[in-house]
This record gives sequence, structure tokens and C-alpha cells, in this order.
Amino acid sequence: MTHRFKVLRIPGMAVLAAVVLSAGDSPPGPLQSFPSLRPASWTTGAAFVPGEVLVKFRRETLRAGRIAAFASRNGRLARWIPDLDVYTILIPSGADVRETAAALSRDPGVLYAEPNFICHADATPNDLLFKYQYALANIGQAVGDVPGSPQGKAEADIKAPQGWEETAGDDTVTIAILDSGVDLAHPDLASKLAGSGRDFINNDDDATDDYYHGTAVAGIAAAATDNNEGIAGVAWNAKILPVKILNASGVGTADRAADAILWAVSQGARILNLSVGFEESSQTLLSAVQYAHDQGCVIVASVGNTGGGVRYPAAYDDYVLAVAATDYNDEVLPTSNKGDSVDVAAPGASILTTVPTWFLGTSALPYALVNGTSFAAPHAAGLAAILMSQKPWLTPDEIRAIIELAADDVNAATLPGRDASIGYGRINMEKALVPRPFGENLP
Amino acid sequence: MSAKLDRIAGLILGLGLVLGPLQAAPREGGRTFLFQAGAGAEYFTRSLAWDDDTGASTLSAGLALARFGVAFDKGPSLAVLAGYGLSDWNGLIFRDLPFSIDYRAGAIGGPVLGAETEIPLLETGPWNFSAGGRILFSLGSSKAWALTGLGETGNLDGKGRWTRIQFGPTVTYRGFETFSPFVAVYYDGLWGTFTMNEEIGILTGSEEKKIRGQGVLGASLGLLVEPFSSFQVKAEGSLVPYTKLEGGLGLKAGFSLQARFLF
Repeated sequence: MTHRFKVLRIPGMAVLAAVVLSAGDSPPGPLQSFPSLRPASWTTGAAFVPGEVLVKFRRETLRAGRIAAFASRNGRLARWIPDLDVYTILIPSGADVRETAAALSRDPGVLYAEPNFICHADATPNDLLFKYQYALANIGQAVGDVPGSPQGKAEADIKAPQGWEETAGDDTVTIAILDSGVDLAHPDLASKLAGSGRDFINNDDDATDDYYHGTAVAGIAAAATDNNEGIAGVAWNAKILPVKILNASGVGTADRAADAILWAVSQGARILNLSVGFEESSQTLLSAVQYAHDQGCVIVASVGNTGGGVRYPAAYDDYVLAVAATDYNDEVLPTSNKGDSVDVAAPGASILTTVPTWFLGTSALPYALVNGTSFAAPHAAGLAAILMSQKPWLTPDEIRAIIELAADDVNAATLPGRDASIGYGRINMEKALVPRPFGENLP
Repeated sequence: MSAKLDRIAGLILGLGLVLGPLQAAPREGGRTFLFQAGAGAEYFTRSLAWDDDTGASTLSAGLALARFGVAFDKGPSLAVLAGYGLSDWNGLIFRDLPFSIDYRAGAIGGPVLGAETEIPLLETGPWNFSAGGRILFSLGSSKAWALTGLGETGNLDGKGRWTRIQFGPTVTYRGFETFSPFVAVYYDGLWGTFTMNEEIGILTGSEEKKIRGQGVLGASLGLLVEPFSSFQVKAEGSLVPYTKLEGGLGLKAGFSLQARFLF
């Protein structure tokens, strides 16, 4: 299922280049079955709101008794939940919350009193298919739910849950998916869309995906996450801007791609994902990429799947983060293109992601396994979006540098340091996002 | 540190200077004061809050201080302090650098300067009531570390400094011949900054973190031992309660030991 990108010269067309997805590619395959529903995991730890106690009185306790109970602890009423008849009271600063709650509980008019406990979002999302997403968290699980599926190597992943412990980003950052469009009705994407996008193939404002590629890329970057459905996206909270530059056969042109880049920038997108490749450089495309970079955008592109040199725009070294593909064992994909322009790698083999709801028919859920550097790039784009949310003062070059320097040199045994296969290495969200301990005494 | 607290600390020190000579009684030979010289060591921990009280860590400091001052007869004493301190800032997190970092590098040494005063207020039988104040400046020093484990080795350098002001009343029991227990309650303010610089590849950043001590009221219990009229040893243990950011009360402790010669 490796996608190959070929550049064709199309006589008579006023285009500089075109991109084609190989007609010989087999379509993505559906999962055969899905896990049963699991409840969300809630943290019920000891952390509670300082200075607040929740109190429920017995039904027969009169108003005067309730006021007296508050007064006995110098409490002030903050909120009341009528249907539960539960009061939130503020107690004096410095008063021990647990002691106050215990003292109130001993009041004969009180049914119970307790601290106002704090819940925390669990950094392991509850998306039903998350356990198949080895790219985000590889515990050595089988890749896919089909008998005979290969088994991955534990830790051959981008350390997403560890990174999410620090931050999952926010919705101030929009990732433009410049691709074949996005299924606007997909249940794992619809809530994440920054609008219906723009179709540069048909020149309208409906970037609906009539191929599948863009929907797959969008899901990896930023599918709705922790929503008890489908898959998790790398950037939980980032918005998706669909920009259609590939037609129903997966073909696009440099002029449309350039025009689309400028449009995406004008719409406020800060991350541009281009999982497309041109065999030759286009000055028009370069100008657009340069413009987007100068406007503060991080541009992420796949290096291509022909096993040859790095395609464009990934090869625009000064402006683009070029992403190669590794697999569930942290081995580079044989078809992943190579060259000095390769900056980093990310998982691109058997990646579970969203596909259009029409793609597999009505009998299958709209998720499938896909292969290729096209699906490695959105992992890096998602990380770039989180970094931009976390540290909005960083420049595009600085965000690229963080992603590069935080990567794991997974082929160091044979090619130590930066190399033409995976650049600095496979991206690592934990190292890019989580405060790094330092000191002489560390192991 | 607020200007108001600056003024309060200055007032305490000023009172010592002004009231000392006024309250001093003439000694034999016309001298109304004694010189104090000594040395001491102390250790304390304080809970720190930073980033608008969204982060907390602990400062642990060990100080070796020399002191020199004057003690007026029946009047106040005033001493200047100078020495060296080790301040451990473990747990301080810098999230505004390109690569966020978590300080786990232990103590940084640096000079410490300060002053302290004690003013007698009332003497009733064996009970002495006095007011005291102290200000300490830990000036810190720069230290550099390597940032490893990334695609390139980076450099970090940091410097922390803090100011601590304490003042409040002390009650001393003078009913024993060679030793006097005392108890004190005091305001205990701590402020400081830690500046961290990071450089790795094209990435550079600097973050100054303002910190403050959590809890502003402390209490101590101690013993002043005077085996000779010209020599004193003072031992003291202290506690500073504070409200944890996540709720509940915490307690940080300290202790000190001083030896003083009076001549």
C-alpha cells in the first residue's frame, strides 16, 4: 500500500509539474473488528480546590440550621446545585479543607461534606481505536486487528502520551491540510474543522475529499481525541483547515498548490502539511513556501515514496521540515526517499487513521491502515502545532529545530548522527514538550 | 520584595542604631558597649511558588556566616553578617526556554551578606521581651551545565539569588544561670529570582523566574548558652507553615547554631 508519487510533464497544460499517486497502489484496508467500549478513566486522587468544601444537608435541616453550619466554619456560600441540593462553600484562607469537611460531617444536620476534588484529563485518550495506534504509543502490540498482523517493537513510537502529559496543545493553532480535501462529515474530524475549506481543483468553497488521502492525513494530525470514538490525533485540540489541491485521482499542480498555500496563510493557518511531492522544483511553489515561512508558518512535507531523492517541497531545506517514514520497529521504510534534505522521520507503516465515510462502504467503520511518508508527515505537523500552542513566541525555524533536536536517532547503530535516511531521527514528543531534567547527579 | 517591607527592615535596623546609644548605660571605664564577633551555620528549607502561583518547589539552603557587631549595655545589638551559602533550587521548572527544563542540578554556592539587630523591650522578673530583625542577601553565582540527550549537546547557565527578611518578638527566660531558653514568632519573607540561559544549535533563550517563599509567619525555639560572660552559643530550630498550592498545610523547617565572643 505504499504510495508512490510520480511527476509527469503534462503537455499543453499551463502547469509546472503535477503529482500523481501511483495507480498500482492497493486501497487502504479496513480493520476487521473493533474493541469493546471502555469507560473513561477518571483521576480521583487527593487533589482538591483549596478553600472549598461541598456540603449536602439532610432534607429536614432548615435554613437556619444550614446557615448556622456555614457560620460555624466561617464559611461563605459560593455555589448551589439545586437538583442535588449541594452547596459549595468558601472557607477561610489557611483553614484545612479536610478537617473542615470532617467537622461539618459531624454536624447532625449535614448528610455529608467533602473537599471539592479536582479531576484531571487523562493523558491516555479514550478513543476506541487508540490501542492500535502503535505510532503514538507502541507497547509491542499487533499492528492491526487482522490475524497475522505484524507485531511492533515496544517504544518504537513518537511518545505521544508522555508528551500529552505536558500539553496537548490548544485550538488557537490551525493545521492546513493541503491535500485531496477532508471528509467534512467524518465523525472523528467534523468537530475539528476550521470551516469547509477551499477547493482549488473545482474552485469553490467545499473541500470535500473525493479521494481519501487528505482525510487520512488530517486524522493523523488532529482527529478529535478523547471523544470515546475512533482514533486519537497527535494535536488533540488543533483545528484542521481542509485545502483541496489534489483531484479525485490524487493529482495536483504547482500553481494550485502555490495558490492554496497563500490562501491557507491568509486564513490564519500556522502549520501547513503537504503530503505531496513534486519531482522537480517549481519556482512558483518555492515562492509560496517562502512566503508562508516568512509569515510565521511551519511547513511540513513528506519526502516521497519512490526510494529516490527527496521530493519538493520537502527538499526546500530552508523552509520545510522534510519527514521520512519509519515502521513499527523503528526501521526506515525501504521506499522512503533519501537525501541530505531529510530532517526527521515518523511512523509511516500501517498507520491507522480516518478515511472518508463512503470509502469502505457502510459495513465498515471509516478507519483504515495506510502506508507511506504521506502519513509520517502529519505526525510531525501535529507536534509542530502543539509546540506552537505551547510556546507561541517561537519562530518556524525554532520549532523545526526543536523537533529535529528532540528526535531519537533510532538508526544510530549503523548511521550515527544525522543521516540521509531519517535525518536527526524519529520524532519524540516527550523530549520536545516535557521539561527536561538536568544535573550532574542524573543517571 | 515590596518597598513597604524594605522600609520596615530599614526601620528595624535604624531603630537599633538610634535606640542603642540612648538606652545604653555607662560601663566601667566609660565604655557603654561590647563588640561581638562570631560565626555560625544554619540550614533552612522553604517552599517556593512561582509563575503566578502555578508552580511550586523547595529551596534548601545551607549558610556559613561570620558576624561582627556591637551590643550596647541594656540596649540593642547590631551585627553585620557575611559568609557563603549553598542554595539548592531543585524542582524549579523553566518552560519559557526553547527546550523546557527541570532544574535537578543541586546546590549553587555564592556569597551571602546581611545584618541583624535585637532590641530589648521589657524585662519582668526572669522574662525578657525583645524585638529582633534580620535581612539576608544570597547573591548567588553563575553555574553552567551541559544539556545532553538531544541531537546536539546544549549549554545551560543559571544564577539564583534570594533575599530573606525576618522580624518579630522574642521571649527569653533568664531564670537559669548559664542558659536561657527562648521562643520567637516572626514575619518571614523570602523573594528571589533565578535566571537561566539556554543555547543549543540555533536555539537560544533566557528565562528569569521570580520566586517567593510560601508562608510568611514562622516560629522558633532555641537556647542561648552562656558558659562565660564573654562567650555565647545560640542554637535555634524554626518552623514555617504554609498553604500548599494544591490545598492543605505544609511545614518547612530550619535550624542554626552560632558562637559569639563579646569583648
